[in-house]
Amino acid sequence: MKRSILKNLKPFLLLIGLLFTLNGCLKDDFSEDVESTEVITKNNPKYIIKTLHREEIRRNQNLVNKLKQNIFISPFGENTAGRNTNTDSLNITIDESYAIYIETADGSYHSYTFKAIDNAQPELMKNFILSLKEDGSYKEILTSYYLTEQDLEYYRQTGSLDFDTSIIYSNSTAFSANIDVYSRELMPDLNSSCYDYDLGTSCSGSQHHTWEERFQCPIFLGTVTGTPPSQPILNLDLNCADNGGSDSGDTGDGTDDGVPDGDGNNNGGGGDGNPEGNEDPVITIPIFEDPTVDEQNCAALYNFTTSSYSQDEFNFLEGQVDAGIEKGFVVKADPEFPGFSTDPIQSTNDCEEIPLPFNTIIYAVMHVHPTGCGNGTQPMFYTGDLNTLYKLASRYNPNIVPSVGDSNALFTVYMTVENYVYALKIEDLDKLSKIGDIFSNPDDKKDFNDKLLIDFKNSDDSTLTPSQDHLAAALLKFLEDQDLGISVYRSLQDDIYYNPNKPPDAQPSNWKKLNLKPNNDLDDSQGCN
Amino acid sequence: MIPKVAIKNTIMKKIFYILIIFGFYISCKAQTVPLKNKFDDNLINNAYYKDIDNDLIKFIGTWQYSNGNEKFKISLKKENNNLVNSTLRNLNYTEDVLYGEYQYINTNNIEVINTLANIDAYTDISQHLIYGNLLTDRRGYPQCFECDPNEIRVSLLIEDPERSYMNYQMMVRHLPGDASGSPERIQIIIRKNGMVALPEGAPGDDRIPVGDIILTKVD
Repeated sequence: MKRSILKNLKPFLLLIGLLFTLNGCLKDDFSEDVESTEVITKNNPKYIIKTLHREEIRRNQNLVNKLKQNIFISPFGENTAGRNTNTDSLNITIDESYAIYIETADGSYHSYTFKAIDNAQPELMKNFILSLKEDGSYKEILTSYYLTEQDLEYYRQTGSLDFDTSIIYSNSTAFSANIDVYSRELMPDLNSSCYDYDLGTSCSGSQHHTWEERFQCPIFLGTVTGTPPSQPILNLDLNCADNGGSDSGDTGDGTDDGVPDGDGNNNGGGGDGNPEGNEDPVITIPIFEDPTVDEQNCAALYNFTTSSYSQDEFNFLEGQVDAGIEKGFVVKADPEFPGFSTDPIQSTNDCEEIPLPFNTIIYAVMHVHPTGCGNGTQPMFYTGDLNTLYKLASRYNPNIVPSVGDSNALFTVYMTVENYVYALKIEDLDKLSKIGDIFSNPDDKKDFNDKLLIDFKNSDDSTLTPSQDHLAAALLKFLEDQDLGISVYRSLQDDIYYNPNKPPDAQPSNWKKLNLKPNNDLDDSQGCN
Repeated sequence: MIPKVAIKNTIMKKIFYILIIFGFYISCKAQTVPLKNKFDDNLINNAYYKDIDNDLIKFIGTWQYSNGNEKFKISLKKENNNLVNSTLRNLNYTEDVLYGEYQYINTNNIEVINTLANIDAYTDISQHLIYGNLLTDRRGYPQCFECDPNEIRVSLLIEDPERSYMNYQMMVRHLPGDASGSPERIQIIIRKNGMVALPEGAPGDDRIPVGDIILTKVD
């Protein structure tokens, strides 16, 4: 009997199991993926560090003039419209599209580090450094970095923060001597090499330092034998002329073959052969890879918002926050780059959004979301603003004004609201291009608009007007869900101004990239500087 | 003669198969989700977003605003279980939705748009100039400071057929009639969803009445 009951119950048990399985499958289909976000900050109070784009470097007329007068390899020579400057004799191409600018906190020193490409050995990482000397001229340095893929990967994953907060600095005789000697290497007829110089050992002279002690070293990049193998080893290959620097610090392998030892087995010193005894310091951050999208976007924000050209527009829009009509400006490429021209635009009715005219040289648009109409406009971007960012990038024709370039970092939608200026920037143009499909399908467009409207709603019913932080966080969550490849930045209005007493590359700026905290609140701790 | 046990087994097998089929039916049947909760989570493939509380019904009808020469007339209907096929997101679902057409005569007595005759013209109702179903309370932008906390409004897309790039949104609030003779009305606020990047040579002025308007039910 028992057996019979069990036998009869079997199908029911199977059925219940099946239903549970199906139900479980249904839920699985809609489970959310949770991703963690890692934020790497770059902050060192001793130095001001910026990624500068070509247009801003060119804005420093003083630098350009000095470069033209004083050096024989100038990234600002005749080929001003192109991206790169090729130095035929050395077979080196200097990428002038951007530079890492470092300035000491007291403003007494700065340098520009460019990426350089050795056309004979393109895989070799080289940098071209222009380092300010006491007499106001610039010292030229060409550095070579020998990194294994492992080293580079370590740098990508863990080393960036260390490097950014630890600047190569030395005014030691040894280092300066090598620099000076190497400067002569830039002369066309020189191709020999006589130095292999390991920065890791140079910092300590005859005494080895551990990785943890690296900050005590005047030059710290690198390790010595015996330190953990996971640390990056950076070798500064100091080729030198025949007429100087014969007191090599190369003791790594006993040869002057121009190839770094890579094992860190150097005992430092060297370079006593500096005939000039130059003590000028050199501070740089090595460029191993092109700047990240964030760095490019931050540099573009800095360039535009610290420009004397844009101040009138920002000030005007700040004064229009209480107005009823929405006003703004289109930013057009100009042959006198880095200058640009602006045209005013405005809405035709209160609380209405601005129509952006069609023009293939517009790369940015500035506008205000005013509070002085009806219940006011919300101080945040809407879907049309996101679409406008895509339209700016897709319509822009870089061939009309070639000197402006065509970096995605150019394209920006600025929005001025109470206390703040927000900026939409492109993080991934391929992802952003989806928005064209969304707007061409009525159902997708409806859901797109509706979702953002719902996300913007204040969670607290007692306060109908959401705060800016709530709206910004909601927009970020929306952008994350839609995977649109858009970043949002903001700056206090008070932090956008031009100080005529400061050089263009030392203007104040305090842009923040906006992120979401794990609980989806707004995180504005990631600074651009 | 067939043994009783065999008969019993045969019956049990039939019941089993019926239950299996029933189980599959239950599992494959669309999941019904209240329309007002549509965006509480990710959209669900094959779900039915249903107007369970009949919030959309009160907006159905023909509504008219007149002021001198200016006239704005809207006809709204409801479609139940309308299929949405999103190739972009690779999902299908159905939902209850409002759709409509409108006529606008401007202050100069010029009929700018009149598509009222198209109210039953399309099998794909997303082709209608008015289309949508977003249910929101008073917190939805533009916020309604006069609304009761539980009052439901609906947000719809509205399109100018000659300026489809304008991305207009229309928030609609229902104002019921009362015993004192006040007629049933709707309050609409038309606005653009952000900046509009005009196509080459396209005009950027509004041909439809943006802003806040109250329309009375006429049919």
